Order: sequence, then C-alpha cells, then structure tokens
Amino acid sequence: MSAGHNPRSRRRRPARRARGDGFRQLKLLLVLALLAGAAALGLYALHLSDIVTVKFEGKRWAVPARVYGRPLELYVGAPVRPDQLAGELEQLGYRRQEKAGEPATWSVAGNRYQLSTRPFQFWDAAEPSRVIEVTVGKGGIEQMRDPRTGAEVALFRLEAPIIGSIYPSHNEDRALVQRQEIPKVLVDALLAVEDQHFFSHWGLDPLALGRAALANLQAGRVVQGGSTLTQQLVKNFFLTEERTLTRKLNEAIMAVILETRYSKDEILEAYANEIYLGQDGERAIHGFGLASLFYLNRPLREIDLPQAALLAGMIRGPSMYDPRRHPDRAKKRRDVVLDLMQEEGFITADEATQAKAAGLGVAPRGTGTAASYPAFLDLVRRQLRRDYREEDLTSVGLRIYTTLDPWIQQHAQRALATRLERIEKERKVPPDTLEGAIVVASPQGGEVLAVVGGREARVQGFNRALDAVRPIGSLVKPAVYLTALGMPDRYSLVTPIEDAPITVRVPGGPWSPENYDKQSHGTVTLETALAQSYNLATVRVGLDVGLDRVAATLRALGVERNIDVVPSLLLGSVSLSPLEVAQVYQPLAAGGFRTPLRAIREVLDENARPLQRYPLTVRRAADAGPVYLLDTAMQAVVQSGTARGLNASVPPSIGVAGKTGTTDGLRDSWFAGFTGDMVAVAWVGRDDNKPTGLSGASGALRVWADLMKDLNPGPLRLTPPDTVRVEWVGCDSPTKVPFIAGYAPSPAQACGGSGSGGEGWSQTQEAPPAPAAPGKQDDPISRFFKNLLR
Amino acid sequence: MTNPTRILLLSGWLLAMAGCSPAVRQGPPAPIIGPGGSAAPPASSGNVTVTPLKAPEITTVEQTPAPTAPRPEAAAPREPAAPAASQPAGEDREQVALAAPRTMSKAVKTLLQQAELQRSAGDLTGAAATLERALRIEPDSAYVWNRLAHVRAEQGQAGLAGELAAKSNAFAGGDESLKRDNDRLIARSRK
Repeated sequence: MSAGHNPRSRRRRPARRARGDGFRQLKLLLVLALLAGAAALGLYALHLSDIVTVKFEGKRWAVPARVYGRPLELYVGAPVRPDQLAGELEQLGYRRQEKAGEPATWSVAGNRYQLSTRPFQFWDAAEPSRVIEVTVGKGGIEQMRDPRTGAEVALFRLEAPIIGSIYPSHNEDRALVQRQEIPKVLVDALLAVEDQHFFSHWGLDPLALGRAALANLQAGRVVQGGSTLTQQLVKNFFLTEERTLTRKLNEAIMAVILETRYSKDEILEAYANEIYLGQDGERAIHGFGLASLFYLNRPLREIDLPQAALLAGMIRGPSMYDPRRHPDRAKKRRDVVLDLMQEEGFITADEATQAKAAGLGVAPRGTGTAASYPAFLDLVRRQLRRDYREEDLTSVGLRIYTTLDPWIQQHAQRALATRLERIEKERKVPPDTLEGAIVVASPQGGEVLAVVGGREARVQGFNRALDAVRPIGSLVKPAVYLTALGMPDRYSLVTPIEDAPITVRVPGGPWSPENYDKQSHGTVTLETALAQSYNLATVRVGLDVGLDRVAATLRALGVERNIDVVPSLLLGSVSLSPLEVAQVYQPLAAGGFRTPLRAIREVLDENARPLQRYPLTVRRAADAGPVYLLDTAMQAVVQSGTARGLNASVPPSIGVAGKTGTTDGLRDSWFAGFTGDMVAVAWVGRDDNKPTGLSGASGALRVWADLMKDLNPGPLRLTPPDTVRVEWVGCDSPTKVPFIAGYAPSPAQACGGSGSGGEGWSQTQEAPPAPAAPGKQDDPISRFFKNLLR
Repeated sequence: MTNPTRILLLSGWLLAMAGCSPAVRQGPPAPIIGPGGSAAPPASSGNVTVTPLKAPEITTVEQTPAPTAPRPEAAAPREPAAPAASQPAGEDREQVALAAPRTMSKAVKTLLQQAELQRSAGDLTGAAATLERALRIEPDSAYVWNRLAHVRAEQGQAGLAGELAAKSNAFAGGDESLKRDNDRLIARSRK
C-alpha cells in the first residue's frame, strides 16, 4: 500500500494555525521544531499503521491442522460396555450431573445413560446437539431412545475426539475461537486482572500505568504491569521481546493505532487467540481456545467462573501457574483473580466464595487434547505428506478425521507399558531395557485403530511401530503354509510332514535349521507343524512348494520391501515393521481380501467443508479356500499350539487365530493375530538388538493377551467358502477337517490308509485327477533343493 | 516506569492520534481464519486454498499404486454430481430391487436408506461414505458390500466394483440372487 493512494494522508493536518500567533523567533523555532517532530512522528505512525494493518488484516496465525479420532458409533447391539461409554464421555470432557441438561453433560441411573451431546460437523453432515437415553448392558448397547418423545433412536455418533494437531516447526499450537465463543466470565476475569478500563481506554491506560509505576517504585522492582490488553497484543503480535524505550514507544503508538482502526471486539478476539498460556513438551499452547482444551478438556464456551479465573490468572506466568505442575500456586492465583473480579463488581461476594470452593477442574494429562498419541499422529502425518504440502498442514486449519480408536489405543499403551515392566521384574532384567510396539487395525475395513511406538507412548521418539524393522521369524510361516494349501493336490491340513533334520546347501556353507526345542518331532500333520511352529517341517514344505512362490505369496499379502529369496526366508529372515506385519496379516483376517491400511478417513478445510476422502478399497490377495484352511490352522496355534497361553486371558470362544514369532538368539518376540473385529501385532525387543531371552509366547503374546483381555473382542466366525468341504478324518477319534472341495480323502482313505502318519492321514488322490502326482512337482527350484537334500 | 518514558509515551500517543484520526476503517473486516470462521477471507494472503498435490495413492505400506489402487476422492458430497455419462446408470438402478436381508440391524438399515437417497440424488461420494460407515458397523454384511459395489460401478470404477462384489460374495452364504447380482458386477469389471 503506497502512501499516495492512502486516503489517510489527506487527513494529516499539521497545526498550521500556530503560525498566526506571535512573531518572536525563538517561539517560531520552537514551533517549527515541534512541527518537524510532529510531522516526523506522524509519518512514523503512518509507517507503523501500515505494519499493523497488513498483519492484522492478513492471515494472522498459522493454524495447525486439527486431528480427530473416530467418533463413537452408538446403536443397539454396539459392543460398547458401560465402562467404555463413561470413559469416552469423560475423554470428551462431558460433565456428569444429576440430570443431563445443557450440551456436554450426562447422567446415569442404573444402566440407563442420558447424554446431552455437543453438535459436531462430520464429513457428511452436521450432527446437532441432542439428548438421548442409552441402555447399556454387559454385552453392549441394548436400547436407545429420545427421552422426550420416547421414540427409538436407531443410530447416533458422538462427536469425534480431538487427538492432536499438526503444528509448524516453531511449535505454536492454537485452536481459534471467535469473539462470541468467549464466555462473558472469561472477559470479566481478563478485564479484572489485566485491564480494568479495556472498554473505555484508547489503547493506553495512563491511570493503570501510573498506578503500576507507583507500585514498582515503591517495591523497587517491576511488580505490576500497566499494559493494556491492546498493548500486550501489540507486543506479542508485532514486536520482539527486547525491553527498550523504542520498543515501548512503538508499542504505545501501535496500540493506539490498533484501537483507532479496529473495534474492541476484534482486539479482544485477537488477544484471546494470541496469548501464550503454557507449554506441552515442545508444543506452545497459544490462545484461550486451546488452553481450555488442553488444561480443562472442554471447549472454551463451556467453562465456568472458577475455570475462567484460572485461565485469566495464568497470563501473568503460564509456567509458574501451571495448574498441573503447581496446583497450589494456580489455585491461589485463581482466587486472587476472583477477588479482583469481586472488587470490580463483576461478581458478588457469594459468587466469589462459591467459586473459590470449586476444584481446579483440570483434566489429567492423557485426556482430550492433552492426550498424545505421537506414534499414531506420526503415521497420519506421513500419509498426509503424500497429499498435502507441509505449509498447508501446519497453517490453514485443516480438520483431519482419522481412524484412531482412543479406547483401543489407551488399552494398547497400558498393555505394553505394564507388561514390559512385569516381564523385567519377573526376569530380573534391568528396568527400561525392553521395548515394544503394537499396531491394531480393523480386518475388513483396513482402518488403523491404534499405534503404540514404544512403552513411553506419550513421548515422541523412535516410532517402533513404523520404524523398527526386524526379522519376523515364525510370523512368516502362515505365508509358507498358505502357499502350500494353495496347491490342494499336494497339501491339506492333514498332509503328513516330516519334522526331521535337514541341511540345505546355500552360498556361504550348509544351512541346518533347528527347532526351537532342538528336537525333531517325526511325522506331523501340516496343521500341527504350523500350530507348534516346527521349523524343520516348515523348511521342508517351503522348499517343496518353492521359495519364489512363498515370496510371491508374501508380496500378494502386502510386503513391499525387497524379499531375499533364500531358504532362511522360510523361517522369517525377512525384516518388517509391526505396521507392515499388520498389513500382511490383514488379508488373512479378511478371507484373502487385501485392504490397504488407512489412518485417515477424511480431510476438511478450515470451514469444515469436505476436501478429500480416503475410500475403502479391496483386492483379492489370496484364494478364499486356502485362506480358510490356514485360518483354522492358525486357530489351532491358539487352541493347542505355541500360543495356547492366550486362553488364560482371552475366552476360547473368541476363536483367536494367530502366530507367534521368535528370532535368532531371542532378539525379537512377536505375536500377530486376529479376532472378529481386530487384527493386532505386538513386538517386543531391544533397541540395541541384543537378546531379550523372550520367545514370542513369553513376550509379545502376553502383551497381546493383556491388550485383548479388556477390549471385549468380537468372536472370529470363519465361514467356509463354497470351495471348501468339511470331512471327518481319523479312525480312533475322528475330527472334522476342512478340505478344498474335490481334494478331500474318501472315508476309506481317511481311515486305515497307508503311510507313516499313524492316524491314517493320507494325501487325497481322488478326482478330479490331480495334474501331477503328489510329491512330484514341476517347480524347478523345489526340484533343485530336493536334489540338494539327497 | 520512569517519568521521561511516560512523557515520551504520552506525546507519542497524542501525535499518533493526530496522525491517524479520525479513524476510518478501510477494507473488509479483519477475518479470522479458523474452524467455523464466519468472516470471508480477504483477497490477500488470508485467502488460502488447499488443493491436494496430486491424486496420490494413500496407503501406508503400499508404495506402488495397483490399477485399482485407492485414490482420495475429490469431495463434493453436497453438490449432486451428474452420473457419469458413460455409465449405464439404468442398468445399475434396476438392481435396487434386491431386498435387504431381514437380519440387518436398524442402524444399518437407516444408513442404507440414507445411502440410497444420496445415490439417487447423484451424490455418489456421499453414498459411498455412508455405506462405508455401515460396513464399520456390520463388516460382514454381504448386502452392504454389494451396495457399495454398485455405487463404485456408477462412478465408473468398474475394477473396484468387481472386487467389492467379490467381497460381497464371500459373505453372501446362500443368497443366490445377491450372488447373481455380484457376479454380473464382476463380469462387467472384466469387460
């Protein structure tokens, strides 16, 4: 903006009248000097005015993207138990009352919950505030109705919880509020403690200034500031921290300029959003909007008198009066503010007394926006960076709706931290040497529900869930057996496998794998070989079906990394992160359909207008039949195999399918498994990659068990696809075994058949005629290895 | 605060007042950029439009987009989009006659109705979002997967529609008419 075009320039009026009086030279000189000074200052003020205007009317703040977790869906049959409902409401900062009334309150009588909800703008619609009554039993939600009309409510979603923000590198975080969202009590408190004459002064308050100067003189140091809110805003907004006379002068001039050009409401709104109110790690808490969420876990418009006094009192010293670290100091300060409010006539003595009796109302760390899920946010940020520029993420106030389930996330964090501590105590290993990670996703939707990147889940650091890339050990075995079961002419669940020593010649010398217990187990069924995680049997099967096919299966399931196609691949020499393992197991939990894992559902712009959605996609990764057979074998892992310890914590009726994994020297302990509604991966190991002494079963499996124990997981109901037939197998104690249709043994074969299987297992040779005789294959690599073995 | 400072301050104040008064606001009201901000952003730097960089793949572990790789959908859920001209919309519409199974929960039924309204209004993105919400509640509902397959087919995403129909088949059990419908979608995706 150039001065020439500025209409304000017309209005500059040097006091020319002065020339008409007196002719004495001295006086003239004095006047001229004054005039020159006035003109210079006027020009300077004009310059400052431009600065003020540009900054104030432009984009004032970089507003970080706000990240939300999934909204809790309420409907009859929803697996939401009373403790979860109460927990979610508390997380959202809902107040429990005798009777639910204004938005964000709730009450409970017996198993009937009444909720008065906050309105929320979802991707697809605005959900208005409403009152609903929810009857909750042990098994979940039993009934929902509108208490006023008695009408049934089919479906309702609570607001999405705020789980964090993506703030720029200078680490200023804020949640903007508009003037009408600032409660009167807060304005009163603010005026009482910082600027009594805000609504009447012109930017400066000489009276307050004088009083402060006097007080400071008396005390011999600065005890009181006479700055108005406007001056404080100017100081924070336009000026540096230095305490010089020039800066003070600039501050005063700019304060007056601001006052002349903008309304009190605009200045108040800017102040409320600018003011610094504390620190959360490296994140700076700016503005009352975020401070209210951060300290009190409620939107600013919902705060009451004592809370308003608390926030207003913190301006003087956000770290000194931090209500979490120094609750006593913060309370004293709050009470001082309440006294001042009473002195100023904003509140009565009764109100002040009552407010002083109230607790601080500070939300514990770990609730609402004070909660931090850095590992999950890290994943969100990585996914967003592919689609958005960094500056857009950190400055334009995007709203990111994610898939995070805070309920599961908190359980996962707790499960990892407490279990690792217990293991360290039991095994008398030094504390804090074990580390771990957890990833939980929804099997059919591929939504990432929880990510724990280490036992100190709240600390942003090495994100093991994404970046600890470790050998997966026996977690690879399902891929080996899936490959085999995909050849129904050669393999079924009851195919006898030799679990006997084997040596493979590989570059660098012969490779002789061993079982975990260093024993051989003779001839076992394929299912037993997987359930007991026998290495020797697995290597034989893997070499027979072909290493390249096993690698292809892994790639189809979702491995993106380079796979070293070497025999040790069969025992899990391939290294993956826990998140990648979750991706590999997801198709196994979803009937062979792969759904790329997603952490984000939708992105909205700063006005809550839909911008982008991340859709659900599926793609067949493996045939349904073999996946079904494999899943039943993975259930045997839990029923009778290496993960049977799980039955102590998770009811067998859930039918968990999974696989333990242990790597050389007991460095990595893994468990990956799924229920009807969760596919979850746990890893335990050390950052320095030293041995932990833990197998998959004694480490990660116990973390996994702790996680599931309290989560009320949905049972895994496997439905056999059309291509599967279930047959009775065995003579002495026949059991039902699923086969790929057309490859089941005839009853005669199934009983009294030949072979070394003992129980009479026999590989099916019935019609349709198998293209190749069992055991003989055209795969050159397998032949090559078979020859090697001879 | 010392006396000279005060004098300076006050004189500065007076002069600034002289220089700037009378106060006449210029330009539009100061905007607030933020959630629910009501003020229209000025044409200056305050007006920030965010456009996704590209139509990228969005998966975590997936690095190379497969032919049917998910793409973020441009959002226009409140602006009814005209059905893709190349798409035989009528062909898809006739399948609506398939009855929703009785076992379906009220919640999912409500969402199905909502999705159907969105779909018939041409808001296919919105319909897909609603159906995905229904799938979060009943991930093994063959019928909902089938509906989602139809919406994708109407959007011209035949490949994805076929995969979704196959997924629906996996849950369809003995529902032969649903399976036949899915098979048609699968066949069309291979054309």
